[in-house]
Order: sequence, then C-alpha cells, then structure tokens
Amino acid sequence: MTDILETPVEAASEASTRPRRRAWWQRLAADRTGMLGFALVVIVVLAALLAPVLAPFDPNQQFNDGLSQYGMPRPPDATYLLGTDLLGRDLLSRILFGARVSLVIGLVANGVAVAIGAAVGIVAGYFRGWLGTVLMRFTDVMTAFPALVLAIALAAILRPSLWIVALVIALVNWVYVARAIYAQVLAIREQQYIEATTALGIPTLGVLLRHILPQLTLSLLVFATLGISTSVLLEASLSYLGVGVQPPTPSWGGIINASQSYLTTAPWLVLFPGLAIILTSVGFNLFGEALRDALDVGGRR
Amino acid sequence: MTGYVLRRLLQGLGAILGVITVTFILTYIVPVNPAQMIAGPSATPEVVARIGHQLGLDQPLPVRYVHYLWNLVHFDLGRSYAQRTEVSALVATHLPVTLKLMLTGIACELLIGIPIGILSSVAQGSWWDRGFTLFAFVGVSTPQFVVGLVLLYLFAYLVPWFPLGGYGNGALDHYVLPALSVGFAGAGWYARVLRSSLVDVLRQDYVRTARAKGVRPRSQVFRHGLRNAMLPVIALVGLDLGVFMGGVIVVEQVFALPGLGQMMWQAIQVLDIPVIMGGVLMTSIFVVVGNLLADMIYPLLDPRIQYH
Repeated sequence: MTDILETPVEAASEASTRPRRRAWWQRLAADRTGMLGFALVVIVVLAALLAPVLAPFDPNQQFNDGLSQYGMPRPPDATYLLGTDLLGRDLLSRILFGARVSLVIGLVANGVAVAIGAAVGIVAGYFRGWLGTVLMRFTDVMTAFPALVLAIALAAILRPSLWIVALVIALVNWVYVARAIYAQVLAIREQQYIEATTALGIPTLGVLLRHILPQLTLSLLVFATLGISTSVLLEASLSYLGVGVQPPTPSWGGIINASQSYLTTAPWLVLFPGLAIILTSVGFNLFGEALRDALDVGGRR
Repeated sequence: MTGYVLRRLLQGLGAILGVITVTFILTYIVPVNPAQMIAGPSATPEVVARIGHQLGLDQPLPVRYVHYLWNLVHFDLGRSYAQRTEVSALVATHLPVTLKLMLTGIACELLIGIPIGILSSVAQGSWWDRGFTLFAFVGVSTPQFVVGLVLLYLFAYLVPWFPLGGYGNGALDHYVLPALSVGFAGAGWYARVLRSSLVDVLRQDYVRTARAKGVRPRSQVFRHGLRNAMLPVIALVGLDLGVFMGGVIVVEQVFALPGLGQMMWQAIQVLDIPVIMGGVLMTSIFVVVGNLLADMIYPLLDPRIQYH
C-alpha cells in the first residue's frame, strides 16, 4: 500500500521542479560574454574607486622630466607607464582619475534619464488622454533633435561643469526610456488587477507606485545598465568637442581633445584614453545585453 | 495611403515646429547678452542697447517668436550676428558637405553591414559569427571621433593613402575616412539586426519550399531571404538618423570638414544665435525627413504592409 502511494508523489514533486527554468542570476552567470562585460565593468569601477591608490602620480602635477628636451610628451616607459601628456603629466594617472568622471556621469546622467523617462512614460501611459498626448508629442519633438546637437547647444548655453554635463546627457537620453515604458504601461493598465485597484478605491498615486512601478523594475534595471554605455559615449564626445567636463579635471574625451593635434607624434595620447572609453562602453553593453536576455525583457532603445 | 502620408507629413511638421520652439526658448535663457558679445567687453551700455534694439532683442519673447516663424515661412533664417551674411547663405555653403558625409556614411554602414550580416547568419555559431558579434559590440561602443583619429593615424599618416583632413576641392578621397568613421558603429549594429532577421526569414516555410525545389543556396539567401530581411534594417537607418547626425557633427570636427557641424560650432563660440538656430533646424529636418522616408519606403519593399 505504502509503496503504491509513494511513487506518484515522488514523480509529481520531481515533475514540478525539473522543468522550472533556472533563476535569472544563474542564466546571467552562465552567459560567458555577459560575464566578460561584468569583468570589464568591475575593472573600471575598481579603477575609479581606487584611483588615488593605484595612480603612480598626482594626475595634475606637471613633471620637469615629463617632457623631452624638445618639449614633446614622452612615450610610455618604465617611469611613466603610459607616457606623458603635452604638459608633462602622467597619462596613466590621468586615465585612472578619468574613470571617475566617466562613471559618475554615466551613473548620474543615466539614473536621472531613467527616472525622467519612467515618470513620463508611466504618467502618459496610465492617464492617456490629453496629458498622455502632450507628454508623448513632447517626447517625439525631443527625439527629432539630433541628440548631440541638443547636448552641444545646452552645454554651450549652460556653461559646462561635471553636473551640468550629466544633466544635459540626462535631458537628451530620457526619451528612449519614456517611449518603451509608455508602451509597457499601456499594456499593464489593461490588466484586471489594475481594474481591481480602481474598484477597491486605492488612490492613484498608490496604484502607480505600488502596482505599476514594480512591474517595470526589470525593464528599468536593463535601461539603467545599457544606458550607462550611451551616457559614457556622449560624455566622451562632448568633452572631445570641448563642451564637456573642463580641464584640468581629467576626462578621457578631454585628454583626446587636448592632444589630437599631436596625433602623429604622440599617438599614445589618443590610443590609451580611446581604449579606456571603448572598454568601459563594451563592458556595460555586454553586461546590459546579457542582463536583458537573462531577465527576458525585450527592447533596446 | 495618401491620407497616411499626409498625416505623417503633418506630424513631421509638428515635430519641427516643436524643435524650433524648444530651441527658441533655449536661446532666450542664455545668460549672456548677444548684443554685449557683438559690441565687445568695453562697449558702453548705450551702444549695447542700440545693437540690442537693431537685433530686435528688446522686444518681448512672443513677438520675437512670431517674427522668427513668419520669416521662416518665407525661407528667411535671419542674419548672422557675427558674420555679415544671411544664415540661409551660410547654410547653403555648409549643407552640401554634411549631406555628402551623411550619404557616404550611410553607404559605408550598409556596404559593410549587409555582407557581414549575411555571412554571420549563414555561418551561424561559427567563429566568423562570433568574431562579427564582437565587432558589432566594439562598433557601437566606440565613439566616432576615436574611430576617426585611429583611421587618420593609420591611413593618412602611417600609410598615406588619404589626405590628413580638410576639404580640398571636395573630392571623394576627402570623404573616405570620415564616412568610415561615421559608418563604423552602424555597420556593426545593422549587421546584427540583419543577421537576426535573416535567421528568422530563412527558417520560414517558403524558404524551405524553395530549398526543397532545389533552389541554389545563394538564391535562397539573396532572392528569397534578403528582400524580407532587409526591412528592419531600412527602418532602423531612418530611425537612427538622430544619433547618426551627432556622429556626423563630431566627425566633421575630427577631419576639419566645413559642414553644418563646423558652422554651428563656430556659432556657439560667439553665441551667434540665428546661426545656431539655423543649424539645429536643418539637422532636425534631416531626422524628421529620415523617419518619414523610412516609413514611406516600407510599403514599396513589402506590398503586404497596409496603411490606414
């Protein structure tokens, strides 16, 4: 009697566990390119956090022996591992401290962009009507601006500083988040449990924050990761054009801006900061894409 | 179809009007008085006031806004503050350069992206495929100015195949490296898009039927698959123009090409507001028209798509 009962129970419990998909972090950990991206992100974050410890020199100190006897920057050697810049400063130290600028801008600018985009998308999608139309039309207008042109105009008008640059990038990038979130909220609000909240008389703000926002967490998390790469690239371009972070604060784009006329004689001044930008951006892109796949939320940009 | 086209045109016009309005408000909040910029730091307040009056800066914002729109309808973009010319004349000299760079850049995106996309979809999971995937990620992760500077170093300095920058007489060899720099990111990205859409299309029944009928593999891909798989790529080229335009502006700076980017760049240094406005307006028209074209080309390539 007992062994007859036992077998189906065992079989049932086995059946209920086996087909279940692995948890998202397990899928993420199994994604090799995603983990490569994660490794790059960790390296950049460590470089930024530990810059004062890792940097062999003060990034803003000009060394007498930092320039050759003809006043030219020195190529990489045993003292200055990545060479020196036009003013005889240590390039490695400047690149390490430049990671701070890139990361702060990437995190802050993209964080603000995701917050604005989420707010606009949720409000427009939930209320629809004239408010939704106005908000989404405004989003369309902002999309018609070439992002960099708008950023240049804003940065030139507002006088660039670290936080202004972050704000400018946020003001340019929120539109993509807003569009995606808007579409999702339109679908969510048709579901029955949202209808139920209305029937229960839950205040609107409560519905938005406690019932709709949690549904969007995963998408927002993906935007928060993938968008960092876009923000880092935009900051680099702005600084390269001279309307980004201002010297003497070391930023990767700014270093390239200052030294591009020495491209043929001191190519390392373009090569190393360029590589830093690329590796950071590749890292966040690979990690973000893997995260999106693991969380199974669609849509990029 | 006509109704749809009309509605999209109106939407596009609305977006451009919005761009004008936002830019106008932006130029209004500039903390520097343009009249002061023109008069110089040592000018007396009277002189500054007179110049401000000549430029119409003493009028209230709504009046200036309506005035600007009225002139715009008559294709008058105003006069430059810094240079004694019409903005439309400035735009006319700089526009062809930007246009050429845009077209050659898009050509690069497609000429590099499409073959790579086809190769990696046919050889799915191979080392080629993985290599191209990596290429695509590096492409979208590299700022255009870095690509530009690397290309300059390699193919204008180390191997002097191309000029080190500048415009010359506008010959094509001045555009090769700039076009590659703007197209690099898009090439990788569109290769990815084409790969995934081609993989989907080649799995469909009609392609299987073609295969069963003994159609050569090459025809399966090119005649049966590619026509459908190209649709998302075409759409994206149109939709991405906003981001693409930014790349064009930066690359003009790298190669010292006298395009709209350079025009706006010089204008921003001296707060030459009419020129900034003109440049922003022109570039956003590109974006809106690009989006529109992408929508229009769609039904031509795919008769199944109906608009209403």
